[in-house]
Amino acid sequence: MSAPPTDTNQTPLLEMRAISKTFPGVVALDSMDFVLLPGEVHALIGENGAGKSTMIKIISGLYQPDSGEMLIDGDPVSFRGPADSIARRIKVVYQELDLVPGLSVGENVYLGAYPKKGGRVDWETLYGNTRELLDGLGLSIDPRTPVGELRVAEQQLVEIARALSQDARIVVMDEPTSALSTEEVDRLFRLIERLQERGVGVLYVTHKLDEIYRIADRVTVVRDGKHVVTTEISKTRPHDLVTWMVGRELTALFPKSTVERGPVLLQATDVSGEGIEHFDLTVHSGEIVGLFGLLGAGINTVARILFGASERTGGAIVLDGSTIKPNSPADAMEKGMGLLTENRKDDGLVLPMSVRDNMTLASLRQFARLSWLDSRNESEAATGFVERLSIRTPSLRQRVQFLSGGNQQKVLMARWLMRDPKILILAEPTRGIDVGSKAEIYRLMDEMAQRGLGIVFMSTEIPEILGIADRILVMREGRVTAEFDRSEATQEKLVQAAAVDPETSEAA
Amino acid sequence: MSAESIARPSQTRRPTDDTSRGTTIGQRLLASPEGYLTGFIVLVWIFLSIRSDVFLTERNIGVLLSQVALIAITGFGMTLLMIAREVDLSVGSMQAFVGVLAMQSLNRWPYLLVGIAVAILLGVIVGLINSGLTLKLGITSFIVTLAMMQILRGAAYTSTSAAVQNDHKLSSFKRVFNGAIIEDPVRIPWPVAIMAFFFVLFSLIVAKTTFGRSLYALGSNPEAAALSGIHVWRLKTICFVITSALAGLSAFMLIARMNSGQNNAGFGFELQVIGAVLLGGASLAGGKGTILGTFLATLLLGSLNNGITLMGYNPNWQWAVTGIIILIAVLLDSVRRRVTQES
Repeated sequence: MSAPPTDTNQTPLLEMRAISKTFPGVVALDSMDFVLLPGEVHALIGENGAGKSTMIKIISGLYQPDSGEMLIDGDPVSFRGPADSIARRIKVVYQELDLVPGLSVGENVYLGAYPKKGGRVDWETLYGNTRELLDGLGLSIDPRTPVGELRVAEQQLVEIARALSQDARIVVMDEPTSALSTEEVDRLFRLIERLQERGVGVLYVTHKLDEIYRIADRVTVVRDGKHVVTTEISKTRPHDLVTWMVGRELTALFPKSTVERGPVLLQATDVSGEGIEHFDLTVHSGEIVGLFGLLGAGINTVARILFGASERTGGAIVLDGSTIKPNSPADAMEKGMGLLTENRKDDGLVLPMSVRDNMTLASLRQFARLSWLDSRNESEAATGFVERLSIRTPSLRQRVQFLSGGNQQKVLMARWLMRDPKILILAEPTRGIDVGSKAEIYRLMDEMAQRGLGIVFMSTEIPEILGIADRILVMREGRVTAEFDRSEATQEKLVQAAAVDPETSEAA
Repeated sequence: MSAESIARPSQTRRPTDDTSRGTTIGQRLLASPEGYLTGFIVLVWIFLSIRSDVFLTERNIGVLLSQVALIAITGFGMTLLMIAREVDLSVGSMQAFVGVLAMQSLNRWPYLLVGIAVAILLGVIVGLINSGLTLKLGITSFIVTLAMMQILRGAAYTSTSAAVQNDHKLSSFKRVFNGAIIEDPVRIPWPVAIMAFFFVLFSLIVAKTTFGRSLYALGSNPEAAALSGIHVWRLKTICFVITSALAGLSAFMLIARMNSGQNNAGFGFELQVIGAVLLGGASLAGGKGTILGTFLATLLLGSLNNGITLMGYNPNWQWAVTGIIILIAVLLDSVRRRVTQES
C-alpha cells in the first residue's frame, strides 16, 4: 500500500459541504461533510439506511441535494444527471451491476465510448485493449464472451475494468467484494493500489471491517444521515468503528437471553425447489436459527418454499407433528407457521389499507363469527399490538403507507404474532429500517423465543446473525455449506462458508 | 444506554380509532366519490324538478329507479369483480344470449321459476367459464371476457334470426318488471325491490365480512393477500360467478320489460355498467370501489337520461352525456387526490 496522503492542504478531489437530502418522511442526509483527497482510499461505513447510498447517488448525479455544496477540484458543481458526473471523470461501480448481459465483455467495457476508425467501430482495438485490461487484472476471460455467461464475481471485475478504461479520477465502489472470493479480493486490492498510484481517489463503501484495515487510508463513519467521524485508519480500533456506526455499545443492540431449547418444532428434510437442493432444517422450541448467505445464495427462496409460497418439488416439512402440504401458504399457516417476507412493500403490506386492517389480515377468521367481522374486537387486538410493539402511528385507521419503514415492519410482525404461530420465518426483517426499530425487532425476537416460539432468521448481514441466532446455517448456491453453534461462529467462518465451495475448496 | 430505552420511543401515543377528515360539509362532499356523486344528484334533481312537472312524480321516479336497477344489479357484481382487479365485458352480450334462451325455455316449460332458474344458471356457467379461463390459463380477464362477449353475441344471433316472442302468456311474467311488491304507502316496483335487496346484501358483505376485507386486500396487493392465507383463486371465482349470475337476472328482467327475447339486446350494456362502477370510485387497478358508490353513479346517470327524455331532447345524447360525466368524475378524482396528498 502506498503511503497515506498526509498533506491535507492539497486540493481535495471531492468535497461535500453540509449536503442535505430529504425524501418524504425521511432525512437521508443531514448536513453531511466529506472530503476525498487525491491518491487516497477512503472507506465509508455505516449501517443500512445510514445515508451511504444517498451519498453515492449524489456523487453520481442521480440525486440532487436539497441544500449544501459539492466541489470537484475546488470548483462548485451541480450535477443535473449522471452524464455531468461522468464528464467530471467520476466512475461509480454499483453493487447492482449495470452491465448489458447480451453484449460481450469488450463491448460492455467500452459501452458508449467505442473506439472508432473511419466512422466504424474499431473492433480490433476494442478487443485488444480489453484483453490488456483483463490481463492486468489477472483475468483469463475472453473479451468476446457475452457478459451474461460470466459468474457474478467475474462480472464485478469487468465492471471495475470498465472504470479503468474510462480513465476516472474518482472511483466510487459500493460493496465491491460482496460476491468475490478471497483470491479475487486480492486482485481487486492490487488494482485499487494501482489506481491509488495514479492519484485516483477511491471512495470505498463496505460493511467488512477487515477490508478497511487492509486497504483504506482514512475512514468516514455515517449514522442516521449525519457525519459521525473521519479519521486515519491506523489510529482506530475495529471496536471504535462499530460503536460509531451503531451509536452505542453493540451488546445493547442484541438483547440475547439464554433460552432452554425445547422439543423439535419444525423438521424439514431433503427439501428442494427452484435452485434449492437437499435442504435440511431442524428448529426447536425457543430457538433462533440463523440462515446466512450472500445475495443469490437462495436463503429467501428457502423461506418461500418452507411457507409454501414458492414451489416445493421434493422433501418433507413437518411442523409439530403434522405434515405441511407443499405450495399452500394457507396450510402452512393452519399448522402454525408465519412468514415475514423479504420485501415488505411488494408482498407484505397492503399499502392503502389501514394499520389495523393490515394487522388483522392473516387472522380475519379469529375476529369473525360466520364470516361477520367484529371490528371492535379487531381494534382492541390491534391497539394491544401497537402498544406492545411501540408502533408509532397517529391512529389505527392511518393508512400503513404513511408509516416509516420500521413501523411498517412492526405492523407486519403484529400480523403474524396475532396468529400466535409456533414457527416464525423472518426474511431480512431489519432491511432498510432505522437502528432503533432494529433493536426493537431483535428484542421482540428474543422475547418470542423465550415464550417457546421457534424462529428462522434469514439475513445477509453478519453482525445481526452473530448477535441474535443460537445456531447458524450458512447457504451457498442453494445448499447448506456449514453449520455453527452460537459459541463457535465468527465473521470469518461465516464468510468462508458462504463464499467458498466446500467440495473443491476452490474459490467461488 | 440499553436496548430497552432505545426501543421505547417516548412519543408513542395511544392510537385512537377516529379519523380527522374534513370538517365542513364541502370538504366532506369532496372527500369521496360517494360525497360528490350525492352532490351531483341533488343538483340534477333540483334542476329537473324545477324544469319539469313530471320529474318528481311517484310514477316517474318508479320508472327511473326500475331502469337504474337493470344496470345497478349487474353493477354490484361488477364492483366486487373490479375490487378484485378483474373485469367482465361479457355482461352485455349475456343480456341477449340469456334473454333468448330464457324466453325459449319459458315457451317450452311455462313456469316463471323455470325462466328465472335458466337465466341465473346460464349466468353461473358463463361466470365459471370466464373465471376458469382467466385463472387457469392466466389470460387477463379483459381479453377472456372480450372473447366471451363476441361468442355470446354470435350465439344469440345464430340461435334465433328474429326476436323470441312471448308464447307462454304467463300473467306473472310481465309483472317481473312492471309489477310492484307493495302499492301502499309508496309503490315499489319489483326491480327496485330486487335492487334494494342486493344493495343491502352486498354493502354488508363488502364492508362487514371477511370476504369483503379479503377482496380489498387481494385487489390492492394480490401477493400479500395470498401470503396472508387468502384464497385468491376461490375469491375471484366467486366474484366472476356473482357478476354473471346477476347479469343473468338482469337479462330476465329485461325480457320481461320488452316481452320478448331479442338477440340485439344489451348493446353497450357492459360499458354502461363498467362506466358506472368506475364513476362510483372503483379503479381498473383494483382494491377500490364501494356498492354505495356504484349505486349513486347509476342513479346519477339514470337521472340525467331520464331528464333528457323528459325535457324532449334527442335521446341519443344519453351516450355522450354518460361519457362526459365519467370524464368529469375522473378529473375530479385526480384533483381530489392531489389536494389530499398535499395536506
